[in-house]
Amino acid sequence: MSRHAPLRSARWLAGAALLAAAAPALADDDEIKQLTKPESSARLGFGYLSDDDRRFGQYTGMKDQGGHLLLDLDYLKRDDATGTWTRFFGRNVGLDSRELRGEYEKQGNWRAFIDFSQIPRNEPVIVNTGLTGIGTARQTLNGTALRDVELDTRRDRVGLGFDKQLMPGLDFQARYTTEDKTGARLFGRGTAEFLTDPIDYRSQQLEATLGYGNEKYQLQGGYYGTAFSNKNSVLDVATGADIALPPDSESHQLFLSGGYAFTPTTRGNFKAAYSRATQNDAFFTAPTFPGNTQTNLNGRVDTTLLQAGVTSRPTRELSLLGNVRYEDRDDKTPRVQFLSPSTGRDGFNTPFSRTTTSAKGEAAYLLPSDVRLIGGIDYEKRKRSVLTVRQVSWREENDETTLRLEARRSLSETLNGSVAVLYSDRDGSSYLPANNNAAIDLIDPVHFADRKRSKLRMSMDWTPMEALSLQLLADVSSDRYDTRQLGPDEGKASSIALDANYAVTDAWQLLGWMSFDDNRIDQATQTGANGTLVPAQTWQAHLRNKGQAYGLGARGKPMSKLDVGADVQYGKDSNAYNLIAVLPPAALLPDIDTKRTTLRLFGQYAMQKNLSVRLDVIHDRFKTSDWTWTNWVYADGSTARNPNTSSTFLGISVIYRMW
Amino acid sequence: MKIAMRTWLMAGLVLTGLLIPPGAALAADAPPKATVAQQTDTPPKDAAPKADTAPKADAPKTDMVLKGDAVCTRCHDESEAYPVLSIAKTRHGTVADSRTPTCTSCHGESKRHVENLRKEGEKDRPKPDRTFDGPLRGLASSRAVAYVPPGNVPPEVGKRSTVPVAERNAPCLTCHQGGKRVHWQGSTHETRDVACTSCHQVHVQHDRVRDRLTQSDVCFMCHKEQRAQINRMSRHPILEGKVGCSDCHNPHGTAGVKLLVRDTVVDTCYTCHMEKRGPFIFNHQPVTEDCSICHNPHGSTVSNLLKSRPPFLCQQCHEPTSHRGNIPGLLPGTGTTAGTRGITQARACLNCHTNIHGGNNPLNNSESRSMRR
Repeated sequence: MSRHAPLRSARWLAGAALLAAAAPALADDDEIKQLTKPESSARLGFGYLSDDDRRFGQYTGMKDQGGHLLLDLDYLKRDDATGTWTRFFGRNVGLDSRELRGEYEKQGNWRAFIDFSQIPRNEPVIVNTGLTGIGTARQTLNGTALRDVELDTRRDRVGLGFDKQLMPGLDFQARYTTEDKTGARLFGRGTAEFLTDPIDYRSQQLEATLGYGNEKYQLQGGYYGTAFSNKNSVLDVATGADIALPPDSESHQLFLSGGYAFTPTTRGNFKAAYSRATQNDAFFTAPTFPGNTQTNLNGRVDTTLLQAGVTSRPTRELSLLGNVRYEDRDDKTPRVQFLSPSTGRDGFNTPFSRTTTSAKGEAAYLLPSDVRLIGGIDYEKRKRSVLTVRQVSWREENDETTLRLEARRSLSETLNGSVAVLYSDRDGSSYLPANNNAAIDLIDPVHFADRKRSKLRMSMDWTPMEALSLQLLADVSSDRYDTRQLGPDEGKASSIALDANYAVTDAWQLLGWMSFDDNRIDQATQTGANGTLVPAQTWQAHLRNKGQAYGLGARGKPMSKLDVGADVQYGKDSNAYNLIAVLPPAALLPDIDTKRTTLRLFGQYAMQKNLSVRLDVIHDRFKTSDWTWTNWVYADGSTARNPNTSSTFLGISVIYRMW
Repeated sequence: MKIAMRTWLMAGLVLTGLLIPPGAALAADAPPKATVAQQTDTPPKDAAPKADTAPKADAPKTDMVLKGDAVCTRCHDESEAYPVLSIAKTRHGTVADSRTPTCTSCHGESKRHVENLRKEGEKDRPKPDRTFDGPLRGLASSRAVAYVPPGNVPPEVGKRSTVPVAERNAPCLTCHQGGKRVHWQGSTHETRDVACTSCHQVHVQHDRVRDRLTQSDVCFMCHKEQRAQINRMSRHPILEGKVGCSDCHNPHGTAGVKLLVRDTVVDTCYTCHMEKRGPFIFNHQPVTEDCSICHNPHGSTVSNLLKSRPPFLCQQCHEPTSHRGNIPGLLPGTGTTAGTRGITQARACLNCHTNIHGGNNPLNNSESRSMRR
């Protein structure tokens, strides 16, 4: 940029000078207005999608072949004398992914807004089924002949907000959102019957806060409440057992947080919060265990959070940090028997409580070379409640300590970066066996297991010449699970990403990036139902996911009135399973490769100062060898497919700007 | 005021125009181009020739945008190498609000810069007391069909500021310290030398990081692993601007983990996925502890953002009793026999355990407990 700054400035000055000579009145109010007044814009256009494409249209609101209305609005007006803002905003107004917002504000006094947002989700997997009642709470298997069915969901959210400055330093803020989510998702009842998950949810959130702040301290307290309601409590299938659906629930939280400057260089902050979440939605049917007369769960979870931290910079070179956090999740749902006891269950409901205590300490010292050395230690202890009978091996406690060391340089004009190493060690209390039977206690669950994790992370931000910037990020990590018998064993992850940005000339800029990542985990288990370790029946999987992605972009201004840009992006992900097991060749799982290529072009020509015409072209291609649904047939005859897709979008629009 | 300024402006422009060869001129009707520095505050390194020009003694003393800005705008107008006027389009430029800053609130009094008081051997005009980084590298997003308003473009390449980050952030924290920023000090971003202007563009009407459509471009400048993940087959609608990084993370610091907007991972996920909250009659323990035990929220090659494909994922916890340790495979058969499709394809384990986040079926039936009904 700066390499060309004088020339650019000179050109602009020259142009402006000629302009001034030719039309002395031009650099007048209009010019100043354009430079200093909030700008409004509107875009109206027409887009055409060449093919039906549920992958491209998964969230864009454009999945069907044909025309689409392109309409965006941003009206912004400020009354300078009073600081009063009026804003109307609309994006993708002509599509299912539309957003609208209206806002009125007297800056420094009060503000109110209302907004609306739609998020479509079109399931790319297409199902061929005879199921009827799709998306409803009553569905019938093979109610009609097999036909293709496209599933989708949509979120419609309305938000309201109000801010008021009550007095200098004292603010009130309220936010409310209500979101309806409707539609149908892939569901099922065993491998025999394809069903859809009927979704008709409403989620509401309300947050009201009162905050006070001055130079010395800041305090903020308030209420945060949520409510979830589901119009369907059960999926009633015409034949066979019904399926319970998510119950209504709500939560209420009171919180207080703040910060205090002990000295100009030492500051503390804290948060205290108490939440109560309840779930007492009526059961869709009465419990059938003898003596259980409950009509709902009477579920209740109380959560207490306490956090406090101190940071200090006693000298320019030294900074210190300490932080402690305590979170207690107390599931107070009464224990009631719903089932007849048997091996592996006592028949009662399964509340889970947990207390998490964590602490963090860090010291950083700035060396004369402008390299900051940072050393830190993190500690976390999780203590969980224990069920009388457990489905998996259980651990009441986990402790994890992490040591960190980092060298960071961030005050150079041209070369900054960091190198960090991290080592963490997780262990915990003795295992409690699954099903209360130590003989079948073979797997340590992945989030309970002893684990040693090491990680090396490097970053670099380099400007080798005035027009070129390079960024590099690389990390490699290793997890070693100290499992007793089977289960997760070893994990490895690495990633590297390189970005380059080059200002070719004043008018042209190029960007390129590439990234690679590789994630592996080795794990083992065994076939057979007797539960004791039988080496002959053990088998391993060496799971691996490799990703590579490349991006290349350009922006240019070949003429004073024309802006153009192009981006191409390619990504390939490969999943390998590498089973070490005795299986016939026909059973082996092939690797899965998924590729996606996207090309985007745009050009925008300024017909006059406030009027432009814009052309957008997007070509999107998706290809996968995913065998998830290949040759899969439900007993009811339903099948599904995840098709490869390719489509091109062409859009032309007119943009009007005003000041 | 406008007449005086116009006269001065005209004189300067005509004089400059005479010094520049005609061939260097842009088309006369070209709109003033928003330059990089305009958007970033980044002083071009070689702007010295212009900046070296001492303000004229008779330069106007009238403020153009902010209170007391005359001392700056007598040199720094939109035609200068450090254009500044566009701040007038922003909330910071709304002078009717008495809380809004002046130029010197952020850049310091900068006496040496204003009066060009060079130290011995110093070639260029001293910089203002406090200069800021151009925040972002990279190109403006064109990935969505939606139109990105003008001004919402990234800066180009430039050198980084050498003013200590804490000093750069200090003027911002003077006003923006409470509320959602009360945990800034001690946060990962603060301790890793992230400046406010590493992400925010102060002088533009549309700050790229405050627009969901372009926000992730800013975050991906550092969080590059997530850039690849959000392009995977299973993902949140981040590319389309329907979900922004800040819907889940508060980059200004929180009392929770991973800079999440709510106090825990699960509470953050419940803001959109409240149906998973329960509590249920039969809870699935990891669901109550941390959604990220099973899911990668940034993207996955497995449906539903799962970290691994079932049954492999489930076999990382569940004992090999009954069918749970069976080998997945593609042999015919939709039961739970080893090597068959039944435990491998379609929704794999979830074919049967369809209520995997928790079951609320009160019937005395083992299928209720195992989250099948």
